[in-house]
Amino acid sequence: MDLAKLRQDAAALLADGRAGLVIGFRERAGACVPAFVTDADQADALVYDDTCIANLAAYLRKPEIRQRRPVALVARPHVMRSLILLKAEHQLQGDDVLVLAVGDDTYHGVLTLAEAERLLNETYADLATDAQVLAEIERLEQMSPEERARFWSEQFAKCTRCYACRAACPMCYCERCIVEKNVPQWISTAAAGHGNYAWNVIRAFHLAGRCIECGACEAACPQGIPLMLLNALLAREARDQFDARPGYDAEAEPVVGSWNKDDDEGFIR
Amino acid sequence: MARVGVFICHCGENIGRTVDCAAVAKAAEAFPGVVKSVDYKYMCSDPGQQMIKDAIRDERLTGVVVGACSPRMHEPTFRRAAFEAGLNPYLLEMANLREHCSWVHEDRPVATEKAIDLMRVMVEKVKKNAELRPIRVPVEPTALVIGGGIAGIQAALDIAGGGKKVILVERSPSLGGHMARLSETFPTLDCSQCILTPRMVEAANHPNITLMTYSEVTKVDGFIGNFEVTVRQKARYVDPEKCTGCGACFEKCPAKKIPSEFDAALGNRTAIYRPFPQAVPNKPVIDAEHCIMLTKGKCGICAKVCPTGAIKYDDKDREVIVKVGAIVVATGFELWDHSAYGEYGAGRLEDVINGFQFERLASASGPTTGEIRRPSDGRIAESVVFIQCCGSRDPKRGVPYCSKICCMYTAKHAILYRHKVHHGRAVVFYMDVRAGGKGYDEFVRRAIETEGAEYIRGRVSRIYRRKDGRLVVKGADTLAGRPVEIVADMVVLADAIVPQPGASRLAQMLGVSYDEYGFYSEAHPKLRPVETAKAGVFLAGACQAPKDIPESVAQASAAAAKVLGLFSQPELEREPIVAKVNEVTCVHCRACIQACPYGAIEDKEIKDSKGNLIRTVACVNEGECQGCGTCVAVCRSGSIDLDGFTDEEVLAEIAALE
Repeated sequence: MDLAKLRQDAAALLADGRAGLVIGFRERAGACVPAFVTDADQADALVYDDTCIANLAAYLRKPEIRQRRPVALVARPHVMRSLILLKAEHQLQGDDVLVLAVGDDTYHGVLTLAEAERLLNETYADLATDAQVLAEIERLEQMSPEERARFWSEQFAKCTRCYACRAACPMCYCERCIVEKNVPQWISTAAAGHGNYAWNVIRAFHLAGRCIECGACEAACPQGIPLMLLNALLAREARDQFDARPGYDAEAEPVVGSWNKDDDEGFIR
Repeated sequence: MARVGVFICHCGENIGRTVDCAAVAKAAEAFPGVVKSVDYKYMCSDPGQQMIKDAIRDERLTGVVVGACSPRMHEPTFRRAAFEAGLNPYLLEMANLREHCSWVHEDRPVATEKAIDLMRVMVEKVKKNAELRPIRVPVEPTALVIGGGIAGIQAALDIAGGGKKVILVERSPSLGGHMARLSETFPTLDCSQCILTPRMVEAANHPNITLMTYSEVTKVDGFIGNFEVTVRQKARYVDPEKCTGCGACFEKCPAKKIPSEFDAALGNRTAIYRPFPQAVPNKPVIDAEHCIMLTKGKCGICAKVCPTGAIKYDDKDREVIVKVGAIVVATGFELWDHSAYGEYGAGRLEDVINGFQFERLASASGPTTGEIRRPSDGRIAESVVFIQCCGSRDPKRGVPYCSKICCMYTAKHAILYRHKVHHGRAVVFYMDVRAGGKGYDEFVRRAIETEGAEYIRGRVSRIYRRKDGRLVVKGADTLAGRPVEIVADMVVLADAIVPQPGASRLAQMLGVSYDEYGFYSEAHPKLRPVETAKAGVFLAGACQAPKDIPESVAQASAAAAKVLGLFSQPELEREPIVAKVNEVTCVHCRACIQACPYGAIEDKEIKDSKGNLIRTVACVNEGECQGCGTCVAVCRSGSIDLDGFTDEEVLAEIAALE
């Protein structure tokens, strides 16, 4: 991948004022961490490799970052899908962001959101679910309901309710999350039992038909809860039953919440 | 402090049989906040309602829970009583101890336990209830009637006669519907055209009625009092302003071999045509599918012969949006297609016809000018077999229900046939004769006893064509217990009554529910037979269930009465069960806007004092919200609440069960 070109583009965007901020990755203590570059001469610190899993689109909702629009973002195909989906959900205007597009060891250059949408549909139209995740879903589906409930109880018991999964996800953009609603309080905030179960399941359901399977939430989880199992399972259902391909069409309506007269009603009978 | 009154109804024996109502009332006394708890045989009766009113005043109640039937029926009754006693009606709740408990359980102690739980749940809810005020919306005092058959005509005339405007939409080029095709009508044998056509003319000339024939409803928006309906006016290719109805065009039209819909394909029509000579409006339309000019680009004869230059080949479909306050659906019925019955010739035997075809043969204006001639060779039919229940009461291959009118019209057909062919033989195969109605059984007796129709109880197993062209009808006489074989010139099948094709599509447009066959569902089978579950939409005629003419007319007048009642006030009070958006926490993802089936949610811009846009949020239009709660379910941040069913109220109900 042409990292030099990426740095050069980032510097140019900042230098000529086309972007007020470039969000990318830099190295710190042997790991890749998000980098917020405001000066052209800092662009040389930008790096990119396979360990850059964080979905930088998650930062776009922060007020201090919104102030610096337009923002340029180092984005792999999954992250580009997040941006398209944010636009579809009216959280982003087309000219709010520019994309420093990376993918398949290639640097595609600086793209507008519309160009990123085209690139996705032309080159990255079939981003498959991770094979390991699929295999694990199949293993879980072989289990009896009791076994499966036990599996998830054990997983959710680990949750400390740090909400890192939420913070890492660009689609968790609500200003007041349902878990923080206290009149009435539907979900117990104590890091135990039903509250943990409810939180993790509701988080997954709120992403049904919206998760683009970037894996940032699972990577962010300090307790190693396999969140992508839930996300990928719901993504599969949304895809198989409603042809949901989130993040490929900025005009698409959401699967949950849109309906039409020809929807299959077989499940009610 | 909450002061809740609990009232347990026995519903005669409906609840009392399975639930120990006194024990429920006793248990409810101990619920926190309950200051009065009683049971009574009929809580909805006047003394029952009085008990509630007295308690509200005497005990200074802040909430009431009535444990009785489904709120669908009597919630308005009890809420009115509460209102009359000075309590905000939305501080009264019902717990459904009948449908949700006594009717579905047998074990008395267990059912009583459940009834106590149901009461506890509603007591906890009512303590959280807020006072709500009804929402007032204006009513557009114009009605839309869909369907120009006898039911639609009657409804339109009655509404118009009541002084309100009506828009009457008919899909075909003329008013009249099926009734216009009938020869004579049972049980009086008066001429169908003679009683119908004057009504058609009256409807067309009435100053309060706007007629839209050759038009279809394509979209329905809005709600009771304020519907916005899109009507597609199909291109007629004839300017109705210029056309005088002289008929020169269809006399000269060279495309003559088009099966006439009106004559049930027994006769032909031209491409420019009026369905029948008494059509209203009596002006032709061009059938674009068959017109030589419109399909091949050459001909133009009708334009040449038209003395007023009314033909316009470049006519286009037009969409008109009309605003109406109420809708009467009168889309009628169609006959079931008997080609599913292989043993009756699968629709391929020319001389095996359906009831409508016989009507056209018997009609003075029909293709044979009233002579009963067989379709295959035009010979007078010397022997006719009538088969009832063709498709009806056949759950496997047809429909399981009774089509209701076939016994009567078959008796009429047999009588008409015997009147026309004195020496002819009329044989009727029946399962049993259902002739309930004024003068109906007498009419069937007349067919059998004085008109010489032979009634055979039994089914026909096979019909086939002999070499000489006559039909052999093989069946069983189940009363005599022997097989029968009859040689006939013609067989008339009393095909089942089914809804119009496309009935379910229209129902979805209107938001009206329908049964598994496509008949529209009334709001209550006994007490609200002309209303639908969709407020402001009423039913008339056979679109609801098989009906004869007097029943269709009666229901049409009933629907008109409902419409006039609705239009009697300039404003309408609506239940204040509407959604509200928390503008502070809304992130404007627009999921609710896309999900709302009523288009009741819109964007709202919040601006600072200088007019700068701060943020955009979702906002519910109270007039259009139907309180379905779909938006509440799709809102991820929990920023929408439904008045009357708030999160707090619902959680209180759930918590009461822990």
